[in-house]
Amino acid sequence: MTAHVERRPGAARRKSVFRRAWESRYMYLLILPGILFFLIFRYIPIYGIQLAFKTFRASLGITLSPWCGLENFEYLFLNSDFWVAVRNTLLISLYQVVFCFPFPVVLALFLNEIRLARYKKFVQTVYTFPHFLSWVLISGIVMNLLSSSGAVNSLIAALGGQKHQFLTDKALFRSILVFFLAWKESGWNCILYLASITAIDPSLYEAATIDGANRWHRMRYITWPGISMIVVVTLILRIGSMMDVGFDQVINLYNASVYDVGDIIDTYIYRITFQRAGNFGVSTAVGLFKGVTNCILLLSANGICKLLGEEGIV
Amino acid sequence: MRKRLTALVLLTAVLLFLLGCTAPHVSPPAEEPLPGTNKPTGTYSTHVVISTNITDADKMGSDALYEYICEKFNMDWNFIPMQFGERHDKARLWVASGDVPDLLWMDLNENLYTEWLQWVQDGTFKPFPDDLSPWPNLQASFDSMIGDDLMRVDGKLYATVAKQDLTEYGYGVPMMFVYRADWAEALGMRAEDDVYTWEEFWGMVEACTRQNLGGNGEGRTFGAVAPQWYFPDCFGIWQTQDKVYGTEETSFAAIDGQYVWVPATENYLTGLKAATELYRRGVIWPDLVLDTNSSLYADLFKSGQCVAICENMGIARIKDYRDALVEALPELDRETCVQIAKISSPLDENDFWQKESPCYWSGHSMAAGVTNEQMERYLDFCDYLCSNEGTLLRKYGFKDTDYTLHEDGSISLLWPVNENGDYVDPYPSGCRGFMNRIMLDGGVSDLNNPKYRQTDIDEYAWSQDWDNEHATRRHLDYNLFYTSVPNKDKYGLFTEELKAKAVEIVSTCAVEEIDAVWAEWLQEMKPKVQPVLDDLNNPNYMPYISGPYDEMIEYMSNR
Repeated sequence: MTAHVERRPGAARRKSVFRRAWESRYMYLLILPGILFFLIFRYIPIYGIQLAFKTFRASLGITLSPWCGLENFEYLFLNSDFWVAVRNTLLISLYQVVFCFPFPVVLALFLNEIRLARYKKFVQTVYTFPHFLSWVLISGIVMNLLSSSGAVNSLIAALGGQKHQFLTDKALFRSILVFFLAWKESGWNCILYLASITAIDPSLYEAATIDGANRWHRMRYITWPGISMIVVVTLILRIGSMMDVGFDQVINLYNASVYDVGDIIDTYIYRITFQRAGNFGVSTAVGLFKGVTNCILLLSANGICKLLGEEGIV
Repeated sequence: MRKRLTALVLLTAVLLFLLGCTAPHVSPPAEEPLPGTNKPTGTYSTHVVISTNITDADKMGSDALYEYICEKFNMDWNFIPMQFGERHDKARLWVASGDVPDLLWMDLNENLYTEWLQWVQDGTFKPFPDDLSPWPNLQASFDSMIGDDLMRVDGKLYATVAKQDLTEYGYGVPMMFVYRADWAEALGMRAEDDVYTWEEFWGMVEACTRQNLGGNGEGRTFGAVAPQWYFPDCFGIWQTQDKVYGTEETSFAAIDGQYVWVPATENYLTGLKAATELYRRGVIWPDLVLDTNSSLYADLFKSGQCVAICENMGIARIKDYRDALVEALPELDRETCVQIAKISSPLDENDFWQKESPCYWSGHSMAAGVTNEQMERYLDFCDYLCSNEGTLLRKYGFKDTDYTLHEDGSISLLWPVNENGDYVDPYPSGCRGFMNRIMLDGGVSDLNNPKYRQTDIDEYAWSQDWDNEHATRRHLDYNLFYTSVPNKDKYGLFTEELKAKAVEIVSTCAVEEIDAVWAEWLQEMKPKVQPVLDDLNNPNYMPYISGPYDEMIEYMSNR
């Protein structure tokens, strides 16, 4: 005797994955450019990682170039310039986390407190605008401000002071990088936090006001908890990319006088690959080192956040 | 319907994005009537397209010169734009990615040569024919120098080279300071015949910066400027070089039959201190450290804001600086305000430095995949450029339209003349430069070119003659550059590291600190440098070290 189960009238038949995908084809089409981007620029290049263990010969290509074991890493780890670049990258990144990361959060909190809508939009536009300027342009502005005949030195001279070479001063160079990064990106980065703030239920503020909470209390006990999760996520992501300091910024602003304090891994790769006898094996080894370090930092930051009771991202 | 439209738009965007990743294509030049008297011969039945990398690509393909050569050789050029400052970077990138243009232009100097050699051995380029007799003009150009010998690997020619236009003076480079002689005169500090000792010259420069002679305002007149890649070498390091075979950029030199690393010599340290001392005195434009690959330094001189400039001072440049200065400050006397200065070494007031250039500047190799037809057409083009007719076309334009050739061989230009009485180039596009760069680097030493004022030619000729008589020529060490040595090929000549350190020291150190900082850096570099040095002094790799100049040239041509 076999059991016979009749399908109930109106019950939906389970659709195959392909059918469901086909029905959502326009959604998939929408994400196609993104997928292609990651495929072309993030996944396909992974194939080139093998170069870190090879002596690259242009005529043989990546696949057929001869293996050289860990020779490229050996060369790298024995090279003092490489460690200078690693040190600078980590230090500049640390400064960025300490000084640049909190600024957009604070900016978002303050912007949220502005009640005059037009003024708020104006201030937000002013802060966001520098994000759309390239580092080439900004470096031009920085040079015009800080060079020996720039605006700052002219002012110093006019006030009877002694001119100073800001951009060749090793003690100041990292600070200049961090300052201009904060100026350029804070407005843009605070958009994410402002968006999170708008998701907070307005009735919470109303209830708090009725209960006698002042602005500071509302910010402290409603707004901050409302965005803290997104702050943690962005902090983890930032720590996970600590080896990426910003090639465009440094390459446009640094000079030989400050290589000691300004040469980062990306500029080091650029120099050894394209400005000296191009050694693609060594530069891939540097790239791999950087990627692995970033991965370790990301997982560590995520673990620490979980230990502190936050959700983390992985 | 809306969804389909959205899909179509997205698909188009993706396709456009992917198409954007393909090789650039330069549209053919606009039609322009050719001068009637110079109809192309039209002997080529098949059309050939050759891709090549050039600077100033945006200026190409818009004049009758370009139309003429394209039609004459039934060919088109697909120009791949690049900046001069990235010339080495791009060559490395294209070769590594297998994306070499049909005709790869390179500044094939000592920095790139060993890499180029590796690329040749890897099969990146196609050799030119062994027998160049079908191209007699090209052959004659090669016979007059050793540049083509240097480009032979296992007897096969892999690059054509453009001969330097400096033969009248045996490839002596007019790399020198010009200065505001009118300011020196006003201060009563101008030297007779513009020949200065080191201290006299810089004392004069310093005095000019303090006197506000140009009315620029207090503290707004700078001392000396130079292209960034001359800094800091031109401010004392070149002038104190040992009197041995020199290098394009400071690296190794044979002293007493042994190669040494020049930065480790006493003379280099003296030069470095001299440059640092000038920087500290404020007679070098402080922002030279920051000015990378821009023309700001030259603009400062042209606008009357600085006293002296060091440059490769060919006739064209002398003209350019004088014209620009007079245009900015019309009250100046064009012929006397800017003069070439002769400056002695800081070590010896009777020693004057002179640099020697390689006999060629830049080279062209053809990609392994080009067809014989492309290669032959290119060689035909080169041969034409080396012929009398081609030379005149490059320099002046079309016969009877742009110039008249007299029976005695002299030239009268038919170019338009501006209000100052100077000729105006009817073909200001990049085509002239493109042709020159392929076969002859023109414009540096163009003594008979009527487009220049005689006063500018005289100034240049005087300077070169004076150097030949009084200066100590540092001959170029072809042996060092063009001999393949394992560790040199692998690690290079450390010129970039040296340059960076020298710039850092000059711009950040006090003179008293240099000894210690320099010793520390030499120690740090020793593990890298020593293997190269050992190889250079190994007779198995370098069977010939220094000797009489002619002997070295002979050796290099027959190695």
